[in-house]
Amino acid sequence: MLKINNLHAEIDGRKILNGLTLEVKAGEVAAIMGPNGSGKSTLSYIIAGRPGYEVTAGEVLLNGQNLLELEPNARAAAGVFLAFQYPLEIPGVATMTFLKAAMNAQARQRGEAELTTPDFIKKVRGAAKDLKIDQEMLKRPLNVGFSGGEKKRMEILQMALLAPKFAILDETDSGLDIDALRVVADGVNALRNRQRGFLVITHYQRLLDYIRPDSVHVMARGEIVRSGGPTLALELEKSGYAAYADEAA
Amino acid sequence: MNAPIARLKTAAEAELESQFAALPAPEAWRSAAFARFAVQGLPNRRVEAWHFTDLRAAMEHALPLAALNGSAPQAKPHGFDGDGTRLVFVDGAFASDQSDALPAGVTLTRDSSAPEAHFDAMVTLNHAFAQATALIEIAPGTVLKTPLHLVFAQCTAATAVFSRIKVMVGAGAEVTLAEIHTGLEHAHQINNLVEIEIGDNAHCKHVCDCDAARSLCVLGLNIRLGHRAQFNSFAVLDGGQMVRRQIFADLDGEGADITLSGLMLGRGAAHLDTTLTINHAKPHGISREMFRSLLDEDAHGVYQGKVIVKPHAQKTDGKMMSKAILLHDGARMDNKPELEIFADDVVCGHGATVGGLDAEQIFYLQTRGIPRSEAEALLLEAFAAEMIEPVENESLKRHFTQRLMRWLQARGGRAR
Repeated sequence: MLKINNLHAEIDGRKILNGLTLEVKAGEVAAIMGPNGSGKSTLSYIIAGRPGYEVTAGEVLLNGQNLLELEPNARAAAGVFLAFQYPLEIPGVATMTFLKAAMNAQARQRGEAELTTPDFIKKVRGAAKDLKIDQEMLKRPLNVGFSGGEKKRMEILQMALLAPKFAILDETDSGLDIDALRVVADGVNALRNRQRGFLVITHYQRLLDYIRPDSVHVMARGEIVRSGGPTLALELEKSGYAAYADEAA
Repeated sequence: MNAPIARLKTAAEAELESQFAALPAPEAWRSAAFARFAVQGLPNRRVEAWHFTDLRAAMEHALPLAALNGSAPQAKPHGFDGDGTRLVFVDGAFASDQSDALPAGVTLTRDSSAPEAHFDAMVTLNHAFAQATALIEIAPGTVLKTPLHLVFAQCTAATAVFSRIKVMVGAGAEVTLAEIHTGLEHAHQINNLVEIEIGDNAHCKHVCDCDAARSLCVLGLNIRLGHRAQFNSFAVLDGGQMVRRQIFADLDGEGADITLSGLMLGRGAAHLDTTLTINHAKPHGISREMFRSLLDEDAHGVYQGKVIVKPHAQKTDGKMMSKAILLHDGARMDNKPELEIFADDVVCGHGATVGGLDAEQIFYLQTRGIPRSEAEALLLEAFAAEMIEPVENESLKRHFTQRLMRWLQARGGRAR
């Protein structure tokens, strides 16, 4: 599904990724953990195509297609979704208008038919209900004045509606209380299936109690320094990242 | 040594002088106005209020005056499909045969009384040249359910048109005025002045629609508000060689409330200028100024807002904001907000921003599958539509929304 080979990247001449290699198979939930500044968020941005980063070597393949050659919107249409750590506020654009623009744009780029308005509304209402998102919220400008929890639920709503092949969750647990975390995790778990891959980026083990990973990778100094099963997360919770910071230094 | 230094006249100034001399028997006050103008000359960059809009440099020649005869050509329909009473002014003169019947409580007469002298050269020039001034009076307590459309239709190509209208909104009356400028594709020079006096407790809403196309326009708006009177205005300026919209508002009654807002849509070599002065003379006044500009290609936008709070105008509440988005390296915006506060118990603030589209917002929208051009259009539409949203009359709001969408579509269709 997603293959990252020897990825090197820098921003303003500063190296952030140093030969990162990782494979996530269809149906797999891979967790990336690591200390602050290890390049976790950079990795998610580079996969999604944020401008400003220079990839100096390596490739990112989704089902064999090199994502790095595509515009961010084409990556989305190819099936990549990034749930942001800090979702952007878009003043003046009603959430429903945005959702429709996104779904239709992806359909067009894939050569599929756009949804009819009644089908669209039905789909959104159903998905919103599952995530305990109020109908009123959908009329408001996207993320404007939303609480941290509301923004994260809105990210998961978008993920549910856009049904990506591969989803990246960047620190989705940050700023969430335990109830909001449960709602978000339930939303993610409902989308798990054999075809879909996930990359869950988190600093804390807590999120992984709710979204159980199949594999855990430790990132430090811009590369994967250790990989293991779910128990690796528990081990890290006890020992902390100090060992990896030293190891990478 | 004590001889007055004669200012060198430009060609346009000399032409204006001979045009005025050729007018048949102007009233004495008009001759006096022209004499005052002649001392000032056309506004230029050395005049502070015109620093960014050098009319003297832009106006090489004064176009011939549009003939004010009775055989007015048919004005083009102005595109509003909505409700309202149309009052049409063709090349500056009221065309009763093209206008709707006046609603009850509204009269229109010819006014030849002398206006108060004004410090601005272009208002003064308007006083000198504008003939057949229309006075529209709205009787106290009259509530008009549909707008009065003041349609300024220019029909004779390559002419100068000076028009002046005075609207008296009686105490307690409620009215919406739609100031519509049409027919500007044939390179006119327009000097239009709308004066509105709003009586005590009266509410006046106003919109101004100016697609200046290939013309040079100076649009003046003089407002005087009485006790607890309200004035709310929204304008769209678009196109044009040069458009200067200048608003002079006097809050002369306690608790007067004014909101001025607008949208400037510039592309090509358009020069769009909104300059306003709000004068708080009495306590408890409220003023809001909110302007947004989208500037593409080599367009130049200017916003100058001056809020004056006189010593007696305690408890004044004023807020001013101008935001501009530049869409091209050649585009430019000059923002100049000013506060002059002489009272000590007031709340006043202002802000101004100029920038490009937010790269983070565009990236966010792109990650959802929305192509860059569409993401930009969404953000620009949102930025501008927020200004149109408060317009209450549905047909006017629809008209402005369509104007905006056409402007955005014209942009989207071009390679960047």
